[in-house]
Amino acid sequence: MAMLEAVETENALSFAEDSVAASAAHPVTGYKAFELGAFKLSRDEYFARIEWPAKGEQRSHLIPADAFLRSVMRDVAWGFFYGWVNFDHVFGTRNHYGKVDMYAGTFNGVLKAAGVDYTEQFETPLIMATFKAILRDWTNAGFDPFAAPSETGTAFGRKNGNNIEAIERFRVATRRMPGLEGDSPLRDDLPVNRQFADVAQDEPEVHAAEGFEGQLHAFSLYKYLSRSDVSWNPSVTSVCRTSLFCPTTEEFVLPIVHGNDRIEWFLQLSDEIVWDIGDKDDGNPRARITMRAGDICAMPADIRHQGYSTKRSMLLVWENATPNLPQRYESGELKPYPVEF
Amino acid sequence: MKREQPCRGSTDARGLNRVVRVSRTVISPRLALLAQGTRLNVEPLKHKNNRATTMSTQPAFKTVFGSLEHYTKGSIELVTGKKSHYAFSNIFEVAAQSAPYEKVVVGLNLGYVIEAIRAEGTSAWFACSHDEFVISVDGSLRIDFLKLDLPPASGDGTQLAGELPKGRPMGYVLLKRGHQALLPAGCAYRFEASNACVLLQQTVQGPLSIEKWADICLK
Repeated sequence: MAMLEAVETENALSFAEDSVAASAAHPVTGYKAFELGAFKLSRDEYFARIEWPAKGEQRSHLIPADAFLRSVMRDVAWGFFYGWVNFDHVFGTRNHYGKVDMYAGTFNGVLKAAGVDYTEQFETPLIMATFKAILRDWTNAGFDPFAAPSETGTAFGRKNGNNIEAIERFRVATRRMPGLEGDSPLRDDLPVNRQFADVAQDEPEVHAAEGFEGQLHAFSLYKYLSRSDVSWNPSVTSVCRTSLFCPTTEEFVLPIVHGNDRIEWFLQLSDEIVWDIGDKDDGNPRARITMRAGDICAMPADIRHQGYSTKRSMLLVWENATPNLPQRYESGELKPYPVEF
Repeated sequence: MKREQPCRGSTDARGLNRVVRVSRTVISPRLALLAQGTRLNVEPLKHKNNRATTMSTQPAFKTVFGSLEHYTKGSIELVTGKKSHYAFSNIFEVAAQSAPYEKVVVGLNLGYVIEAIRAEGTSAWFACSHDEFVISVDGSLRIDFLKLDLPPASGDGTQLAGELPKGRPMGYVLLKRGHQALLPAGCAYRFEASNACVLLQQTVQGPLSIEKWADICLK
């Protein structure tokens, strides 16, 4: 996700790499374990294990390794994104744009009420460096955490090589529109995804008058999306002040449950996605929304959502990147939904 | 352990395993796939390691886009709260009920808008003090551009540029479905569509933006 704050995160990252607390490789599984504040993170053949202290005892939570790595991949690639990135109903991160909360159970109604939850805040470069180190160590050869399950191999088993290429993909940071001189590139070099083989590949015709060469600009957005080599990864394709069009191609399940600190909008460009909507604070279900081509709807600022897409589909995610929005929603100055009628 | 063997390790094995499992359960693999609602590719499935799994008997994936004539609106299954808080509409339905070049707001985010526009015939000349973008989501469109002698210096959103705005012709762009064009700040532009076409415009709420949420949204 190409946000202004994400660029800063990237720049600051190199300073924190030395601060990552990693163990030696486990003699049996071959994986390193990591510590981040009072959190302990480790993995075995099947699961990522997260441990934290609460009520004088050590608490723990397991997440299947494939789901965990898909979630970490998004959190890293998006620079912790907007608001809450729930890996599942227990564990996740909240972006404070410079600092990041890591929590276990804090946004689960039952665990929170029982007092067994835990939150710790970290400087963004430290948690980012630790997450990147986890991704590098725990992603085996043949597993691409950015791909849909039918496109890639297994995340399970003991340590077996790595897939640095897959987890170090260049992030698209668009200033105005892809394909403009000095802006992010088009995707002519990437192959068309197997599930978009029927998407037209012709580009628009641009006929600039003499003297205006390079000032008119158009490209095929659907062609561009058909060549996306990752799933569930909003990338900016047009910038109108702080209004960002961030389309992405979706297949299988959104690997995180996103609770935004602002309103965002979804416009389904092709096929179909089902969204599970829950309360942002305690996770209780609120709605299930089916979106088909042409449907547009708001994701209010007080919900969390997770999408399901059987066929790879094209989704326009529309964000307002204005910096002070979280405070304005939290203070009640702004209502959590966009319009009243 | 034995049954899991084909699943382990390589991506090929995963793909093959899936096909074998499906064709075992029912007599016709094609029927089985249709029954599941699964759409699979006729092309060999290329994996990251460049080896292929042959799936030649299966139907191709069909990408479903909407159009003025064919769209299927989705739905909200509500547990708690109000449907109206999701401001759920369908841009093809909106465009089907709009006058040509009516700029209907279908997305509003603190002054920023997405407008759904039915393009049909020739539009007025528009101009804007900031960049705007347009995507054709159904049909073909021509956009003519003028470098204005007196570009709008301020103001939010799309403005009318007058009947014969003064400026130099910059050229034109031809869009088809799925094509996106930049509408650069300070230029005038005019749309022309011989057949009805549906556009999405990314801009700021302006004097021409029309809000009619109660008419277009699920309640």
